[in-house]
Amino acid sequence: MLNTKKGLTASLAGLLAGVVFGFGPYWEDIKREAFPSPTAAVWEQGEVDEQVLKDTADIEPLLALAPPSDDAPDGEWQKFLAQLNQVGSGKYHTSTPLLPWYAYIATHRPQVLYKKLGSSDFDTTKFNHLLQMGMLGDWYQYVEDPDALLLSSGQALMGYALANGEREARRRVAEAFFNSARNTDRTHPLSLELENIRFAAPAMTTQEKAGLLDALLQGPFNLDPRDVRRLTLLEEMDREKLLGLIEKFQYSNKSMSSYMTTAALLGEARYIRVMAGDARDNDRQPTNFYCSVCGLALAADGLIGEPLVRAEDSGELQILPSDQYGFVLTRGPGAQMAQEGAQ
Amino acid sequence: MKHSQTATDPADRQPAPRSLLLAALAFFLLGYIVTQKALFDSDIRRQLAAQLRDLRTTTCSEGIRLPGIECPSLSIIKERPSGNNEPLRRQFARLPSLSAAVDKLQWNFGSDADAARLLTIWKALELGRQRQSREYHSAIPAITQLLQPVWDRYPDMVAATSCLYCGNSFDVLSSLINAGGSDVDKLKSLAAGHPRLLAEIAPTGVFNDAELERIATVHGELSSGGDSKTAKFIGKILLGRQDRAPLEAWLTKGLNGGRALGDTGLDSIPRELVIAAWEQGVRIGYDDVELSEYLVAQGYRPALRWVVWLESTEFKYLHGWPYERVQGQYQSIMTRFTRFPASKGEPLATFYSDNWASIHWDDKAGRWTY
Repeated sequence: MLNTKKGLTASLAGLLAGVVFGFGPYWEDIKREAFPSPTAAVWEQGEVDEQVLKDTADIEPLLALAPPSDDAPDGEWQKFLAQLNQVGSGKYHTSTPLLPWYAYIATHRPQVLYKKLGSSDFDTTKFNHLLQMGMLGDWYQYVEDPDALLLSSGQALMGYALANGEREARRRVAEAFFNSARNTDRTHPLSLELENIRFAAPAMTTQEKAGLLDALLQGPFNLDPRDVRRLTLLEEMDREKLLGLIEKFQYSNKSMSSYMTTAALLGEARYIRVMAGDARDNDRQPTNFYCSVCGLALAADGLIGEPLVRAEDSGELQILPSDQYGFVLTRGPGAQMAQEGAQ
Repeated sequence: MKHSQTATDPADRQPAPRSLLLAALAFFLLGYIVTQKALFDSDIRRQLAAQLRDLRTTTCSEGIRLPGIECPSLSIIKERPSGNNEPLRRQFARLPSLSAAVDKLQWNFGSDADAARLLTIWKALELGRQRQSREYHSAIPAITQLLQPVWDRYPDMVAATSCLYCGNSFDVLSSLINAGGSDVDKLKSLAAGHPRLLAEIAPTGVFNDAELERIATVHGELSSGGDSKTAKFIGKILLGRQDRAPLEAWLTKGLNGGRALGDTGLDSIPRELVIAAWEQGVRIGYDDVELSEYLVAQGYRPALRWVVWLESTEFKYLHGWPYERVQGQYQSIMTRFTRFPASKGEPLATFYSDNWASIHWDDKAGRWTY
């Protein structure tokens, strides 16, 4: 039957009709699934929650935001970007409700974001946030100073390394670093991400590696002393120069003092003394930024707990360098003599 | 030869009308039954519904109307009672919960500008109720339902609205990721941007092994493990590599980098890597107790010192929640792997301080002794 034209046509027509009729009883179900009837919105008229009111942004200006058309000139997009900065975004500033609009611009007119990168209209925090969300992946082709970003943003380097390969990324950062170190025209020091420098190290020549710490110490850079630890993962880094970096960039604020542990593990006794002094209450700092006892446990043996605190309080704490233990914490000879006398 | 010249081509043969009718009927029944059987499966009905939604989105946005399918209202906020001119912020503040606020929003498959508008309003309401975290948690199913269609088409935009280290906000993102349905290439870009997204998205199967290793390696070098699930996920991939540098970099960063070796046989990992991971945790007072136990039992002295510090003082900053939830394990380390006259409090501190020089690891006994 199927090998005749009429038979084939009749069979196909029958099949098609069967499928269509087969759909019939389910059509309404599928439609309901696709387009559920909108539930009626019941706007309760309860008491105003004053805290919620205070923390919520004005909704009408947010609703009124209207992006330029895709073929609008850059100037209109820049105005829209500036407008985002002026719309009130609520009292609770852990985030901004306007992030979707930055994402929208990143999709439709990214060059406007690149042009304004680093300004109040589009700061690097927002830039990094969008990179983390898989946007602006080809940023390095468009920003004014890509080398500065490769040296200062781990997120930006991530995108570059994924797009261009690790080897190329390492070498590019190495070159960017040494070029920046020689750049005397820079008016503001460049904030370095030391993890990016560590990442680049395998692509540095022997000569470059030998000059790395000097370049960091003498170049037009700013860096986080806590991240000097990243450089301790590299081989043949000069201990004195690593300590010099910590010394040069250390903060006055104790809350950011986790570099003291790094310095103590590099053999600097001065920081052991400070950590012993802070042992009882950690200078009331959160441990993820500074943990005095943690540093002591890693870098020093000997006195522990109350005996250490008492020795420190009485001025009898002695810190002795030790090949085996790093440092040994002990009571001074005066205390020992006093103890022996009492016995 | 003669026979073949006189034979009729089968395609030219004319079947009887009755046979045609029977064939049509048979195929009609076949089509009907197969279709009904297929549509009995709710997954297939759901997939068809999604196709229908996409069709409506495309046609409605192009101004084409289809019979039987209405183009929806594109208003983000559902209709308010007439005559109520109170500012929306105030009206939303009258609602009893975040769920009630979410219930007033809709996205009827508009453009990505409408998606940005909806997400902006949603985020403003979320931030406005950020302090009500318990309520937020119970609103997650409603929020997921609201955002699902936006996620299906613009996952990057939804992710950009999220806070990756805010519990409830990430839980919403996680439930969207696990519901599936989004564009694979966009999901891959998202996963490449942040290790936490990689750990959440990769198990859905969007990457092949080589892609996954390449991205995890770059994350290992340049990102950090903010949560233990992510730390372990990346750590497990990096453990499979010959080159240990990315693993070492990963273990020594972030709040949870030191926890990346969890769930692995520590004996099979080079000891210096175990020590690096342990030290990362100790530096921030957030060590992995399993690593501490392993190293104490291996005769590694700094690990003993650390546990003695924890067990011999009452310093509050050392005894926060990370310690409290596993304090029994630290005490167990002291009793199992030391033979000291005191195992807790100031007597332990005094004993250790007085005898530290003679305390040593007894390999035969498997304990620290003096």
